Amino acid sequence: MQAWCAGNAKAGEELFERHFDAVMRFFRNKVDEGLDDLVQATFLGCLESRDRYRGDASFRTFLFAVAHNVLRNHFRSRRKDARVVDFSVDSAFGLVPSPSAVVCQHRLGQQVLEALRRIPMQYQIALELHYWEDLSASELAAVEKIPIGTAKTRLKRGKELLIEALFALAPDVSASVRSGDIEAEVRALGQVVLR
Amino acid sequence: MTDGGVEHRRVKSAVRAALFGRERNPVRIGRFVVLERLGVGGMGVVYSAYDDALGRKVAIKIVREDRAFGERASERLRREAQAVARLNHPNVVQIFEVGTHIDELYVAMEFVEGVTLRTWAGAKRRSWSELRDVFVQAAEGLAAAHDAGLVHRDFKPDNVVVSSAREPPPVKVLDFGLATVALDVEPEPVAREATSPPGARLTGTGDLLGTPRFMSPEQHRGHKADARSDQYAFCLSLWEALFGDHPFVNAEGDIDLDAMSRDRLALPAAASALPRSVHELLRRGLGHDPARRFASMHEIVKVLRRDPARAVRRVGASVLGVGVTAGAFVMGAARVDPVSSDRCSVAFGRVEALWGAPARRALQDAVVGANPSISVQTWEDTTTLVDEHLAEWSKTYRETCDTAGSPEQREHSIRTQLCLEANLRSLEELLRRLEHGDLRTVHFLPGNVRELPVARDCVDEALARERERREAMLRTPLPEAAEDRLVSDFEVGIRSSFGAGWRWFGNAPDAADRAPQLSWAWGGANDSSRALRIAGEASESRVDATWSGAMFYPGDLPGAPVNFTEVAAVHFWARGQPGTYALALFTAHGGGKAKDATFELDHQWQEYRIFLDSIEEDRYDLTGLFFGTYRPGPFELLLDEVIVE
Repeated sequence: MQAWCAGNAKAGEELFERHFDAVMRFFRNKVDEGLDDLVQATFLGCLESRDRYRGDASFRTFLFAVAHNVLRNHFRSRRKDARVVDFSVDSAFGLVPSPSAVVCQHRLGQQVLEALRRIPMQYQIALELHYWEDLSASELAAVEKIPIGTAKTRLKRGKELLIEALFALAPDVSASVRSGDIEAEVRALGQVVLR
Repeated sequence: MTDGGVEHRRVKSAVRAALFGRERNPVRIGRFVVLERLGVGGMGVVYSAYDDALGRKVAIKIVREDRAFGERASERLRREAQAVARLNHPNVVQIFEVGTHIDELYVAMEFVEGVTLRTWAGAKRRSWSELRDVFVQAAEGLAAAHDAGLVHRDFKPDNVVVSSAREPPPVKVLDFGLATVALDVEPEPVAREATSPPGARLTGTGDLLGTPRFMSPEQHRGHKADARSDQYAFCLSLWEALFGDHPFVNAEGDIDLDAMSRDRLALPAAASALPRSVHELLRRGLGHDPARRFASMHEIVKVLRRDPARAVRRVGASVLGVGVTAGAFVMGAARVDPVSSDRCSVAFGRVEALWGAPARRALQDAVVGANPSISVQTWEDTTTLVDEHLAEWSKTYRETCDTAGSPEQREHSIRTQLCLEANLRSLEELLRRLEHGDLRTVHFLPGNVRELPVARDCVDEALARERERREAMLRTPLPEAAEDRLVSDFEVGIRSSFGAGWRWFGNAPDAADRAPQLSWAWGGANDSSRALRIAGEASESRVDATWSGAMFYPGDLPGAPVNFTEVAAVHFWARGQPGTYALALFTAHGGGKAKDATFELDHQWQEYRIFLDSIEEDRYDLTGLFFGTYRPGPFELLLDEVIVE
């Protein structure tokens, strides 16, 4: 990172190679268009806001915090009415009511992807970062700048909301699976979204 | 690092180029360089790409292969696509190449700049001659494919591209055989019929794979589609473009297989402006028995080409417009029983069937017999109100039955008739609920009869314009066909429950604009922005806001669990205090900031009591809502308690 800031393009490319997948995963199930721009803005954002990168948090935490802002700005600028975008109530689906841009080959997976898009964004982010990027509650707290207790609650509540959303979407599918299965499914989707 | 799919590599390559200024490895599918993603559909993702060998732009479809169908299906798909690739016709999208790219099957085809027939037809009012010019080309495309032994199997307005290249627009048929090969599970017809009740599989539109809207009866039965099934689909598409609806839907908006099989096609009034040959074309093409359809698509082409240049074209076009508008809004209600061609006698027949002496007696037995709590007085008041209602309705309808007059007058009459027929449906729905012993409907007698949309509103020009504006809004396309079914249920529920009709919508100023505020409340349970819009309108325009909450009883919304928070949010919305109360309520429920805690039932209950106390005058109603929607169990029983209170 420091090397990239210092103008070392090779370091920049290395950083890009190393973190591209994670950034891609972050946006993939949340937006329907403009993926290229968002990914690009995130990497550029890291470069621009490097002053705020204090080196005490991991680079990934910093990266996701930037991605989070990029995502918020994206929805804000797309929004036609005057209402503010609030990730504690707005879901990806509520903001862009279209099916997930990701295609999963089996039905439960697809329904989980859709369900993730239907819970308020802050929970979708929390769950995806936790299951796909292995972020712990304390790392999540650092990304979102919230107390660690809140981060823990967010994960717990997020799981509940996800299961509720899944039940609402596909009662037949969800009736036959246990919550452990759903967790495994969410985890597995981390690969699917990169397809 | 993962070796991801096409989209993954495409974005990576594009961003890398943007960040570091050079494109090191452009993403390719086969020999094609991927340019951008055009869209995603049930079948898979479509990219635009560049064929540098031949120097032209192509469209590439990565076909989604469902594991369930396995290798055999993908092998068939490949063969099918190769067969289409041999076909070269100006009205068929040319397939250039079929191949496999990292386990994914792709089809490279001609890139057509244009819109789908659905979008084209919906963009503005199309005259018959415009429609004919487009449909005749699509028919030519199908005919050529049939000559080559190919069957489309999934012909629909979404699979026809109207090119923006020139005027008149060239038309091309897309996706021959592709969709259904990928999906075709080769069911044994007998087994399927035995295991599912008629229509059952039609309601499962949560399915991401496709819509059965344009299927022929034989396909619905699970039989294999052939060229004659394409004829059927073609005629359904033509019908939809002409009249804006489906000829065979029942009151719930489902495709009615029984109606399909009866071969009674009811042409809407707007059809009178079309050449008679087109009536015949639709009747024959939509015949239930494939053997009795046309010998080939060539005959359909011939019929379409034969259209006599009618002097009344101008009238035709304008009446057609009404048909399209109204068709979408009455949702099948305007279908006329084909036994009689006289629309008026049909309408009065409906009234007789609904409220003739035998029907009335049967209903009385059903309602009073099943609900001893209904007083004689209530029932008498109810029948008096229905009598009055129908008397006014009949008087108004009869005035439209005089077919003489100028085209403008005629158009006005048709408009009024459609409106009145929709009104009648509200009454039908109310009586049907009574007959089925819906306790909420019973409890609110006779007031709910008084709430029925009144006939005089149908002749009010200002209201008619307002209706049209709303219909136009409600026709805004949905992002996903799968949602159609849920939403139409919802619309039917709202418009008909408690006898609601257009009166509800009559004085809601642009409620639609504010409905997004509801979306988060419903987002989890209902996933339909259009439903929300209607919900917003409905509750906004109700004078008596207390009804709006009850309206959201989950029974009205099959498959959509509604918890009390959402109902309450809607309720508050209806009270004109959407932001304050609903947000507060949601915050209390772990929506985030104020109280980031998981709530147990007790907590919710306590919070709720506080709310109840703070809104004294609403106590009774909210209690009902709370009990009715939050606790599992029969709403009616609990409602009883509330009403007794």
